[in-house]
Amino acid sequence: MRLKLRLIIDEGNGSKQMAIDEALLYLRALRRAPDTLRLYIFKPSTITIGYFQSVADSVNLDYVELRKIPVIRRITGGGSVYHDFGGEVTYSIIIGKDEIPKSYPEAFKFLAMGVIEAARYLGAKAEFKPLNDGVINGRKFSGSAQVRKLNAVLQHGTFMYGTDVDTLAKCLKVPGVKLSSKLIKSIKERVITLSTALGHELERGEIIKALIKGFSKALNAEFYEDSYSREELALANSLKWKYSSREWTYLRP
Amino acid sequence: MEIFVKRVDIFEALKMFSIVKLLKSPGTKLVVIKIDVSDECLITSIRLEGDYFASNPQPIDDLMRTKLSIDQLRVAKTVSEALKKADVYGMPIPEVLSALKVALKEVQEICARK
Repeated sequence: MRLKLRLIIDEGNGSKQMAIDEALLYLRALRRAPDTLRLYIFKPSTITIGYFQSVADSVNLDYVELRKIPVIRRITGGGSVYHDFGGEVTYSIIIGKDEIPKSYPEAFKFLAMGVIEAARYLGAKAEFKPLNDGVINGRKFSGSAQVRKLNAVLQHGTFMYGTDVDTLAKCLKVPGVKLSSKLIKSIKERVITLSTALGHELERGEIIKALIKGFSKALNAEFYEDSYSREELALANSLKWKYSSREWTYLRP
Repeated sequence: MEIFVKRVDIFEALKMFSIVKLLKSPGTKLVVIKIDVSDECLITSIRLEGDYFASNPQPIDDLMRTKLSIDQLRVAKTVSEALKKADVYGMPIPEVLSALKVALKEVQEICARK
C-alpha cells in the first residue's frame, strides 16, 4: 500500500526546528498529527548534538562561541552535526510505528533510504551504511538519528550538498578512538558533500526536489503539501524554551 | 573488547574523583562511561554518554542521579536493568558492563588507598 505523507518545507532557527520535530512526534503518538515529511534549513547555521552526548566532548566550544554558532541538544541520539545554512538540508519523518519495519536496523534504513535515493537521482553512487549513515565512496554525506514515543517514530537526518567542511571540522570534536576505528586521522577525511562527489555546485532548489523524489521512491509514498496545525504550532511554541535553555543543552556538560 | 583510553581525574580540593572509559567496537557507536565518586567513596553519578540511541532515555538519565555504594554486583545490576528499560541501539551492552566492572575495580583500588 502506498503511504500518504504531509510534506512541509521550512526554514528557521534550531530551537524552532527541534521544537517542531518534538511536537509532531508527541501529537503523532496521540494520533493528532498526520504522518509527515519535513525538509528544513537551519537559519542561522547551527550545531546539534545527540541526546546522550557531552557538549564539551563533542563540540569545540571556544570556536563556536567565537563564531556565535548556536549549539542545541536533540531529543534523538546519534552524534554532533553542523547544519550549514548554505549547504545542508535536514529531513525529518514523523510516522506511525506500524508503518515501518519493527527492528531498529531495518527501520533506520527504511527511513534513511530517501536521502540515498535523492543522491542517486542527482548522480552519486550513494549507499546506506549501517547503523545510520549515507555514504559515497565510503565517505559520509548523511547521518540519521531516531527516537520513539508510544506508537510513533521520529527520524531526522542530514543531507550535505555543499557544507563548508572546514568549518564543520573546526566546530565538531571527534574522539581519537572513533577516528582510529575508521582508520582515518581527521573528520575531513570522513565526510563528503554531494557537490564535491559530483564535481559541480548544487542549488538548494534541486536538492529539495531530489529529496522529495527520493523519499517518494524509498517510502513508496505520495506527498501533499500542507502547513502546521494550530495545535502543532502551540505545542512547538511551548517547547521552544527548552531548546534555547542552557540547562537542556548542558544536560551532559 | 578493547578499552582505548583510560583517564583518572582526581579533584584534590574536593577529594572527589571520576573514572572515564571510552569504548568503540566495530559496528557499534561510541560509549563513554563516566563514574563520579564522592570523598566518602560513594558513587554519585554514572553517566553513559556517546552517540548511541535509546527509545526511552529516562533510565539512563536516572543513573546520573543514582547514589550507590561501590558494590560491583549491585552497580552492574542497576546499569544492566537501566539499559534494558531504555531499549538501546548501537550500544554493545556486554562490553559496557565489562568496562564498568574494570572501572569499578579502579574505584575500589583508589578508595582503598585513601
